[in-house]
Amino acid sequence: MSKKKCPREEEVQACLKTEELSPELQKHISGCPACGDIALVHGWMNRFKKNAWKNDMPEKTLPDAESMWNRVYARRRPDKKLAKKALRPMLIPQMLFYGLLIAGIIYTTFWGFNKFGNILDGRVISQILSFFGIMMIIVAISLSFCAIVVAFDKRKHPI
Amino acid sequence: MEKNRKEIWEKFYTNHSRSFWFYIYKICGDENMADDIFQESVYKFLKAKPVIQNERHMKVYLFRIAFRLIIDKKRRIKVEKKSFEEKVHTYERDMHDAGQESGVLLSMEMEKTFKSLKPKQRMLLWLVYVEGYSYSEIAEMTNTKKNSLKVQLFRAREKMATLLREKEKQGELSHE
Repeated sequence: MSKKKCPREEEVQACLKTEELSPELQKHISGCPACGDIALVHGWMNRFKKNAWKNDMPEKTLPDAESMWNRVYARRRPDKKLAKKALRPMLIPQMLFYGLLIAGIIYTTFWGFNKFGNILDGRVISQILSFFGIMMIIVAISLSFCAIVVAFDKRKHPI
Repeated sequence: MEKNRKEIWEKFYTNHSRSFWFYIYKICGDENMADDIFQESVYKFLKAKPVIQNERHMKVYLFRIAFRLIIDKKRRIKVEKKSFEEKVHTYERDMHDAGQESGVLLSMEMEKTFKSLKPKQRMLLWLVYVEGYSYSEIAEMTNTKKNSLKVQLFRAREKMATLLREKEKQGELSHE
């Protein structure tokens, strides 16, 4: 008989699963190499599972069903309050930046533009350059302030 | 509806989580990796919201996700050999210190035999002989054709049977 194929393979497997082997099937298993392998491996695998379960599983604790459920659905809906709280340290530098920007624009429009222009002999190009220069200084001050605030905050709450 | 889903999930999880984790652990052989794959499978399962017919179908779906994840992390399976050898070493040392414990030694021996197979072969044997899945269910889980699955299973079984017979012979020889 070919070891590779046995028409009764699935029948043997099903009977081994339910532990209901008829004497006729037992006789077949002892004579058929393919079904003999099935019976051997089936018996061994179940002994292995029982043995390993007894030795490996008692100490193992798994997360409970509710926490797994919450973890998945909490991940799906981003917490708006949490996001707001996380971005709170950025609020002061942001407001400061806008404040300085507005003050800078007002200053250069009404006073600074002429003043700086006069310093550089009133040429149009120099007036424009001085205007952008002031803007850049304002942005640089705000950004460095942001960086200091973020660095302090990271120190306070390391992730 | 959501509440009902949650209740079904809790019941299912309570009944099957431990055996599911154990299956992953036995296939990949590393506890930390098993934890990762377990949690990721559960996460993907819940996120996918599959149309469930019954508990067995849910289990097949979950095993299918785990199967893919195990295959994806196959490259990390090299770690397993090392950790298993370390485990054997620790057990042997403990055994030497605290006297003989035949149950544990037998378990280690069986584990060693099981680990001689490739991960996919271990997986197939486990699904058929321990979990009792049918060929069509496993074909669905592993995304393989039924005939090709039968061939793979035959090879795994043949290898396992040969190993077991060899061990049996070695045992007889050592008794003599």
